[in-house]
Amino acid sequence: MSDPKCQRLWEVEAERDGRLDPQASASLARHLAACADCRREHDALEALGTRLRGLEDAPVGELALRRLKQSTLARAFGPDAPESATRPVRGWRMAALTAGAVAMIAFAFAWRHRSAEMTSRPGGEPFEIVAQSQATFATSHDGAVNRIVLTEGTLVVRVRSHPTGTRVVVAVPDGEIEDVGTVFRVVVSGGKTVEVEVMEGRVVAHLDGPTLLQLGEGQVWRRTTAVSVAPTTTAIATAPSGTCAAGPSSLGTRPAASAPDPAAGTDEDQSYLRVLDLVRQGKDDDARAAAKDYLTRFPNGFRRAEVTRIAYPR
Amino acid sequence: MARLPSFIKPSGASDAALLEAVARGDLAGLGQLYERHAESVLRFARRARGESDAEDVVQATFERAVKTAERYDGRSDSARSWLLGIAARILQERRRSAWRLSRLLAAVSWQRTPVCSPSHAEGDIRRGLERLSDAKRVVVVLVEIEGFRGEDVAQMLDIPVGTVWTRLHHARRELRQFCEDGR
Repeated sequence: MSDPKCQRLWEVEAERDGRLDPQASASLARHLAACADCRREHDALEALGTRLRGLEDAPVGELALRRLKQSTLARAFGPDAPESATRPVRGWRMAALTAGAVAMIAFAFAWRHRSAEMTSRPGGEPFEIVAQSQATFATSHDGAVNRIVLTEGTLVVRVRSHPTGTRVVVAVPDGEIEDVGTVFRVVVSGGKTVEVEVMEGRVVAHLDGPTLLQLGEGQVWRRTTAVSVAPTTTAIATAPSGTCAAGPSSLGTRPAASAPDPAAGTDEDQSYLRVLDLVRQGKDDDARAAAKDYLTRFPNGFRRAEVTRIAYPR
Repeated sequence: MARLPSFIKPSGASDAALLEAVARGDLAGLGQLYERHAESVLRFARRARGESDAEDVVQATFERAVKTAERYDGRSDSARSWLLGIAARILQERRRSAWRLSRLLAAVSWQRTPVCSPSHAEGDIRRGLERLSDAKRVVVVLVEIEGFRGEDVAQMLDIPVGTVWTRLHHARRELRQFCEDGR
């Protein structure tokens, strides 16, 4: 840089940083019209800022962010995290909580394991390939990563609930696809589930008999008659009028095969639940039609793998 | 007709409301805060520190956010600057505690950072940033790239605003000298 010739050169940077008062700023503006040195300084600082802002970052992958989210939330929820608003439970309540949590986890496993044709993979694998079409692929297990390398063709993959830290990744030629799993919390008190919260992914639960409950990320369900809820907490689940509910429970029952109710969840949720309901009722043709409709409307839907199998059974 | 219970999605809550809930021990909003701001924190950490440490800085930032949520003053609707301030202070602490190793890691990670066919000019400015001290780099990233005012940066880093101006001035001078002279 050449030696500055103008004594007011420092004002150019100060103006850029917002350190000049309006009067000084106006004075500098008049000065710039007549001073080449200060104009050069102004342009140089502008150019530097433009080049810095123009730096291209390495792309931030959605997958990487979601993976990082799991580890970040797990770290934040560690033993040093503040106590939950729900009081810690003791004694028999802890047993009930554990039993409820186990029941919920067992349900999640069962849900994923509902009857399906197993086309490959021995038991114990965190995933199963339920369908394939002219596929060239190989599988490997590397520490905490279960990798399916798909070179060509079509695979339908079902991912079982897998332990924290175990990843299932389908490596494709131009990237990778990963099941990011589910992180959820369940609270049982007095022999009843009183709260379910999903921090990541989705859960579907049967509670109180035939009641079907589906929660997505960031959603919380609380049993209204069992928990005193602070005003700023979220999601008191109150059954809309007309819900068939036994006793004080605010749970609804499975919806009949009818038009989706937007108030009861996303359109994708409703479309998926409609498919499941038709399957349970044994209406196979209707279920296949509903499944194909789901795939058309939600080609990247969260449940596309399961619904694909229903739509195109082998 | 049987219906599902209605679920109220908390996605509309402000950052201030989410942090207030987190401060009371309700951690449900932390996931939403992450969804809103993790990418910003990650990009800042990459620019200020490099690729290798960036994800750990993100984790540490949100972990500390949980512990210090009650200190969020709610001045702004967005917690982005508050979170970046936490990230910047984490970087400062790490710099003080492992100065030589961090510079080595930063140098290595900058080399690994994938760049999409950088122009010659971009390569110059990028190398110039690499050569800055961590303290100057953080300030120039926050002011010139992230767009924060010097006063805000001073608060984020918990340093005098005069120190911000000084570091910024020297950083700009070094960058300009590097790009003009190739030194």
